Amino acid sequence: MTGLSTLGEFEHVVLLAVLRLGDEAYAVAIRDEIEACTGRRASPGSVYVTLDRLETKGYLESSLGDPTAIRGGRAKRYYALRPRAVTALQESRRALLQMWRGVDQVLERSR
Amino acid sequence: MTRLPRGVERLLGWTVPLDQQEPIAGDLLEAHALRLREHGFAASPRAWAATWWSTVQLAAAFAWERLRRDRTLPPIADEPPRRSSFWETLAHDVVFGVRALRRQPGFASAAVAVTSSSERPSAPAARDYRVTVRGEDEEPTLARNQPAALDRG
Repeated sequence: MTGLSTLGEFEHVVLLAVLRLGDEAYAVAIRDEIEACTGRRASPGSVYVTLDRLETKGYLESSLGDPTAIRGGRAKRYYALRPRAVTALQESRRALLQMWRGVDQVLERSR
Repeated sequence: MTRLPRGVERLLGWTVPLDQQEPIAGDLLEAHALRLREHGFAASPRAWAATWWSTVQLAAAFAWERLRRDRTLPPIADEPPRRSSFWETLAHDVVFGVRALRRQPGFASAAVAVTSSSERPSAPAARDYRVTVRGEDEEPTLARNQPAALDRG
């Protein structure tokens, strides 16, 4: 349950978006990926702050890409998962699947 | 070339950590250019408003994060080099001083006290009494407020 206790829900979502995007994980793409997968439009502030916090916590590492003309010569900051994040995601997934086991019937009955 | 609306970068400079400013400004410009391309330059006021709204949200989020979690400063070596005006430098110094006071109030207060006490001018005391040696046969004499005596000696 370590992963569940140290990561918030939105932090989970952001980590999964970074995992899905691979080498193309920068803030704009992460925000679009979250919207495409969850249907929720995250505010830019929450995405940047969460990425920054996850990096401070040691779940993410970042590197600056090459400057591009469309960005006025500014570089993109790409994010990648660190081993600690992969472990936390695996643990939380296992814990959640364990918690969901056998609950489907209860949900069906309560409808 | 498309540019960010006026004032956006200044707001980012006030609120967003230095190591995040360049990539975030680039992201905002990328989104701004996309809006202009999709909706045409006739819709530029809307694009400007949307970019400003995103910037304000960003600034508020980082300000709140700083209040709640006291986001750490990046290592100096990691800070991207940039030209800054006198006022920006002064503002950074003041912000740094306030942060230092908040994090280590005892140490910062002691540093301020020591610095201010050691910079008290001590020259008048030295000027009041000076030892003047006039020649090998004469005894050293004390000259009070007579700098000219030093020149003659």
